[in-house]
Amino acid sequence: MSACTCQIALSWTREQFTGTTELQREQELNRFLAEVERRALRIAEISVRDRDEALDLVQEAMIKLVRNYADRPDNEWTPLFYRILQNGVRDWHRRQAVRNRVMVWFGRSTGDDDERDLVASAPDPAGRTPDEYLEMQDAMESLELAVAALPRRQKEAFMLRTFEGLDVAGTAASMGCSQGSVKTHYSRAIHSLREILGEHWQ
Amino acid sequence: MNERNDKTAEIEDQSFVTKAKEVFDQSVQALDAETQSRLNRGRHEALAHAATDISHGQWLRWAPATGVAAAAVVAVVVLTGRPPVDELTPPATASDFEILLDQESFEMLEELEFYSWIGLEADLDGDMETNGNVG
Repeated sequence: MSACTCQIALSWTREQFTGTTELQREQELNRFLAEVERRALRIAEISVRDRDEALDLVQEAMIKLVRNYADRPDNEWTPLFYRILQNGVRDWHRRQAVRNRVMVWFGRSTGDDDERDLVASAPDPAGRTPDEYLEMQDAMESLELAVAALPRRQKEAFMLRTFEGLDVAGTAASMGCSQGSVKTHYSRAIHSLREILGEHWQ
Repeated sequence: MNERNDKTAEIEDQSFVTKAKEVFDQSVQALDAETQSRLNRGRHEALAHAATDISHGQWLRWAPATGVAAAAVVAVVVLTGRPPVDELTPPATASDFEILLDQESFEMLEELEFYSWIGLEADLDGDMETNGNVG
């Protein structure tokens, strides 16, 4: 009788403990994703040149991270998250290529020539003069175009190292390659960007 | 000479990277409220979505163990045969149910202890008579 009671009590305690741990984990994940989401969105947006698509890609990456890697140590989340995101971007480009081929076959435009309404989407630049804001926006637009023109691996290495601030090891984990490759891609990316953007950007 | 060139190139690269990071961070800070709201909503949906999957996964994790336990119970029942049935106990019939559902039977059930005692007394009397015959 008492053994049985003990067993039930233990089981209940374990369930309570597991429930608490899961809740803590969910809170940690929420904090991590909240911290990373805006930079991730901008990185995805530079890669696909479309905010709505970038938002979808970031959410998909979030779902996959939480579903498959929630129990991994916190310090692995950043490279894992960006690896998922980069894979998503790659798949998106593949789908786009197929879609474009189909559209060309049917003789239709893909609608990519729609210009973004810069005034409508203009954010409120807190604490900046309009001139400063426009200058920043102009610099970012040039940088985005230049980064978008880089070969895929150079683009990934540059964005992960510079924008997300990952170290060489973290970038290698995200890209699924060696640290030596990361260094090579990163170095080439910087030289190409400096060439493309010219001295006036610096 | 080459060393100095390398150092200069390194400093210029670093300066370029610093500026790129600064411009990028500003563009992140400048994200409009609607986009931030969509990100926030997307994150909560992702967490809720995944939590549902996890709870389903936990249920499924016990499925093999439950299956094995059920199979073990079936195996024990089959191997040990049917549970022993007291041959003296007559099977319940339709008439038994009619009796039980009768109004008087309900009254009897309320005084079940009394009838049980009466029955026990009668059994004891019978036993004494039998033993007396033997002895």
